Amino acid sequence: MEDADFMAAVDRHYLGLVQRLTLVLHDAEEAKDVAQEAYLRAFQAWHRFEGTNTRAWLHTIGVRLAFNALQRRRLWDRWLRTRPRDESWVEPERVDLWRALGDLRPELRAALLLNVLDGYTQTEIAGILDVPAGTVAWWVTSAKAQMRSILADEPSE
Amino acid sequence: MTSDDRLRAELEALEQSAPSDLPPRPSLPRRRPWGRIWAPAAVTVAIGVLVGVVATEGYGYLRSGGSPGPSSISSSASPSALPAENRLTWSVTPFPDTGALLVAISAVDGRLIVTGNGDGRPAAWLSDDGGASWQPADVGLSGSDLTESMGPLIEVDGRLISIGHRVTGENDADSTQVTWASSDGGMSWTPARLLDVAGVVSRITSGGPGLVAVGTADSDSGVPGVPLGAVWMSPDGDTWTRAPADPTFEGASLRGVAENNGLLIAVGLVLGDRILPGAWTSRDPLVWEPVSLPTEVGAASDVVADARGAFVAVGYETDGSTTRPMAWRSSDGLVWQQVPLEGEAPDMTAERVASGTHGFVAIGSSSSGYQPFVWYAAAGADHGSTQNVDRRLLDVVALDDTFIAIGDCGPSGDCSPTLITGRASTPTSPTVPSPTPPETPAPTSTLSDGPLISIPTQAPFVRDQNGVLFCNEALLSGRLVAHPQWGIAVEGGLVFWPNGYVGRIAGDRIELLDDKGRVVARTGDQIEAGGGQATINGLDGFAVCPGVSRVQPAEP
Repeated sequence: MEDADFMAAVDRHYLGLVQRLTLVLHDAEEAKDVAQEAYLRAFQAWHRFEGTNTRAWLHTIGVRLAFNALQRRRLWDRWLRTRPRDESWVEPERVDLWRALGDLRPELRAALLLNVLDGYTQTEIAGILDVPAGTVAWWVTSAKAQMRSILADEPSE
Repeated sequence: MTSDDRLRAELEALEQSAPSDLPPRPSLPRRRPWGRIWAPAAVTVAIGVLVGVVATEGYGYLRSGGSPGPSSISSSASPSALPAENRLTWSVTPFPDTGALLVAISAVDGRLIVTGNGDGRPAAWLSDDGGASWQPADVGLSGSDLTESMGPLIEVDGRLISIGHRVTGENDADSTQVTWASSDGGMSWTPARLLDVAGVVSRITSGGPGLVAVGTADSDSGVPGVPLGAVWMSPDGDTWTRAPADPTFEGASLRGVAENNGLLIAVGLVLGDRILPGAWTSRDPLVWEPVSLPTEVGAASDVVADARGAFVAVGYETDGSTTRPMAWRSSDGLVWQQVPLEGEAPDMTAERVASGTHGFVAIGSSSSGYQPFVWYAAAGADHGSTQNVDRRLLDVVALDDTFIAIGDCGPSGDCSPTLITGRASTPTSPTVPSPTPPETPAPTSTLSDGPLISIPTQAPFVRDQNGVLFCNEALLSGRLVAHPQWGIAVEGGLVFWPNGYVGRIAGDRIELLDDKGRVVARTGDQIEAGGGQATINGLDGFAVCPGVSRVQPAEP
């Protein structure tokens, strides 16, 4: 019964999680792997979940897992040439945005998305990513500045 | 549409166009048979702290800045609302090693020890005269190509142990914790050695077998992706043992620890769908019991004990959109009382707390890292006062009746290391200048004399759409008038004053006071100020920029 409760509460956020992790990881394939992992971890922790915002909780687990994955990737990237990341799904008018997102350091990207898309305060992001609030402030400010420079080059709708 | 709105819209569109071919949901394993673990209670006991301004005589510049000698910090606490013993006089002095990166300050047997990094090397500095003069310690190097920084230190069995970091890797991405030891009171330190813990140590205290450290562990039995609070113990600072994983630490990040009369208190946060402040107690320190902090959403970042056995923890609470600094008091470590620390800017948090013979000091800042403040509560007092400073504060320690904080960057971008010293002082009645009869017709005010009024203020750093600091020397001039909605405005336009500015009713005029509590203008005055047009919180107006501008009476 509890498993059914979990699936009823979490399944509807699964697609959103995969899409969010695609942006965080800048890799649609890796996002699926991490989303599966997050789903599993969320289930293991479900009996301790007492909140009401299942989406935020699931995304928090996913982003933290992605954050760890990015740190591991940074280590591996020193030794291995990574496969080119598929961007065929990106709409032509947003290719520059997608690439600019990929140019951000991973931690800046994660902080930016938590702030801009989820509306977390910088202090909350600091708690989620386990880094000082001042560091998050710098990440978000830098990320926004870089992304805005891309948007500034594009005609406004 | 603002640039933030457009960025959000573009990112949302990008996210929603991401591939939607879902991976299969993983098979759900059989569940472990344990129940729900933590359930922080939500009992709020609020004690207000009034915030006002101590006025001094005369007109003042917007910001003095750049003075090499000591400078003062004025209280932002209403003198009429605070008892005399609840105030400190703060002074700011440059740290002698101008190239140092300061990390922590400690007091051991009357000696102040600042640790950090100097000229790219791990470094420590000692002062035996309360911070008036400093001498560098001899710190052994563990390698010439390593970047290391000393950190917080503690005394155990006659030795000092400092826990710091060794940074390696691309973009300094990898950080390893290391320790230094000193057997001569901090004069000389052995080369760093790796700290043998699987995790990140946040704070350390005396207790248990000698030392007790708290932090966040590398996950083992816990859920990867969710923090796991951890406790380590050491008899000597050299060898460490992790306490058995406590189920109440799942989802927790431990940020502070203190000990008094054998009772250990750890504080931190618990990650749920929101962030919850957490506190735990222990006697051994193997078994921990969670206790409730009466704040629903927020986090605790530090805790300290005083000689009477009382504990004070600091952190923040949040409503999901803004945060405000918070302290929690407890006489026994079990029942806690919430004490809001009123700041003047949104998104402020308290980060460190120190206990001295006369009371407690907390330091903090806005979540942007700026708007630093100090908060002082006399011993036994049930409230305190906040004061703004213009340097980012990093750590604070008590030495008898004096508090010494270390800081670095100020709003002008000057990041030279700084000492901020607070001493108990006998308060004097503020000198309030007699209002000069206006030469121009005074605006009508129906408010009574004396009270402070809020006026629209700007963020300490106003940035343009490219993130560049927005400040120009465009001259804003005009007559200062009372405004029915905003308190004070320049005639014909809304003005955002620098943060920390307030208005005060004085007779039939309204005075404008700067963040030092000085009267800089009154309604009816013709003023000049540097600034430019800006939109803040959806309101268009002129922003008076900090650091480069001034408000003064116009030249006749």
